[in-house]
Amino acid sequence: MSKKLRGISQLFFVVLVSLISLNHFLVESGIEIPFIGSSSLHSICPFGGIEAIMALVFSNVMISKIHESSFVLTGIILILGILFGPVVCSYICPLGTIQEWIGKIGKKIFKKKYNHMIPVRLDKILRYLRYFVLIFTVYLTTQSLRLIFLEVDPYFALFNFWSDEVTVGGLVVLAIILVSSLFIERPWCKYACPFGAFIGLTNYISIFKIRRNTTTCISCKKCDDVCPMNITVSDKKVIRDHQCIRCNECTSDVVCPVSETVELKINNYKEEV
Amino acid sequence: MRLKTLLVFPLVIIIVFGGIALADGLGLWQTESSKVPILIKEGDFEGSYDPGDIRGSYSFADIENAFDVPSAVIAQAFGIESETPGDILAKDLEEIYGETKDGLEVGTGAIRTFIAYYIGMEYISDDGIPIDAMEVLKAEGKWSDELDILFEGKLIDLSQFDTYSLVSDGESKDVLETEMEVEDHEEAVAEDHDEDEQLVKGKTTVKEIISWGISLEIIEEILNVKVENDNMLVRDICENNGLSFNDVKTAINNLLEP
Repeated sequence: MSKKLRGISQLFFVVLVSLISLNHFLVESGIEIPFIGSSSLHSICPFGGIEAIMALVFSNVMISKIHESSFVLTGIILILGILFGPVVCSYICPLGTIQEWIGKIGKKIFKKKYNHMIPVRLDKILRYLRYFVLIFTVYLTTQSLRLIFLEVDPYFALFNFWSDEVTVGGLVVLAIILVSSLFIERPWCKYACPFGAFIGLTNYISIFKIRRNTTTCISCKKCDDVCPMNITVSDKKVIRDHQCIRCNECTSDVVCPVSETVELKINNYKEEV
Repeated sequence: MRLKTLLVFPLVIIIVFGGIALADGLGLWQTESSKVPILIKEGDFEGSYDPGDIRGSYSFADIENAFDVPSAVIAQAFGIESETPGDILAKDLEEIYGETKDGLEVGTGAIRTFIAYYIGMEYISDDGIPIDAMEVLKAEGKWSDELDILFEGKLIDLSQFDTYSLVSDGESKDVLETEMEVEDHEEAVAEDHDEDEQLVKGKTTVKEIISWGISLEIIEEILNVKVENDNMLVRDICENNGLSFNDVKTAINNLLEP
């Protein structure tokens, strides 16, 4: 049921963002889908708030295309992150969802090899690339006072591929992501997503964390197998990995065969003496 | 304390949409730029909206809300007959008319100038206004001999534009569509032209002015503030420091004149 609900959540947000983006386009042609709103994709992008915050603080400039709503969404997602970790990645982000959907085809084709094709050493290094993307994007945006990330933004390209505003860079990055999703689960999230890099840090501070009961755990390693981000859950008491997206697939509510063994909890399990 | 994972979805929905509703209630949920000009900070018109801050994206209705000048009057001043004058955007004028042979543009600048004089504000700018606008100002008793001198050579006869007869017959929508199609064809040429044109406009950055040969020191002298980032728009620097963009623009454009 929990897995189903996450799927419903993902579908809901993909449809919602698609309709908002389509409506934004239709409104200019004089047609409007009722009750959806016709905001631009920039105004409902929480990463916009991260990109533009330094320019607003240091130059008192609201970067063109960014609006107050972006900062509101960044705040809301930060609150979600502080409470439950980066659930935005697993329950909301449409780009993450699309990667997951394509990944299902990849799983069928490559079976056990899927999501294990990058050499471990290289994979480990690449996982920090997204922090570089985050810092570089914020730095360039603050310096240029332009939405520089738009040049390569796959999220914008995904929902605006028909518009004049879409960039070649964005389409190329999107194509690379979609193709590589056939081999790697959530490649954008793992290696390049700057917003994921930011919100992933809430894994260290969130009130609820995924915790493992070492007393009842039978070390079947199903939690390790199911993790889209290749985190080894079975050797940890608490998952604080910066890459965890809180999909909760590893929990006793989904894949863990033992009840009350891997759960979203505030406190650690008491160990049996 | 543990949380059943099936509660995560409803909690996400409640927090996201509850947060948006709360932000909306507090007036923080803005998904587009506000169509409200900045306030004048000193002088006789202190506390009034600055006509110099009217942007191309403002509709006549936005201008009416800020300055209490009826949309229909603005449309009349610019030779447009429309059943919905409030829907016309300031930048539409550039598409409907464009530039005269003498290099005067019927666009946002002309709207700023017209509105300023309509509300009785002295407003120095390089922009001209249509003869129709002068007629409106005269009818409202807002035209003077001084303005005759000030606008000498800057009164625009809209009938010189092919589109005038159409928009004045209430076909502004058709004209806009036709003009936009033409603009699509000429977009590349127009962009090149814009890039070559060395005039300070709303989207001009300090860096661009420097590339036109005016040093940062001179720009800072005109602005009377230190420029921290040369990628900033001149308009934004003016807004942040309570300066009149129109005055700064005119001062820099005077230096740029060949």
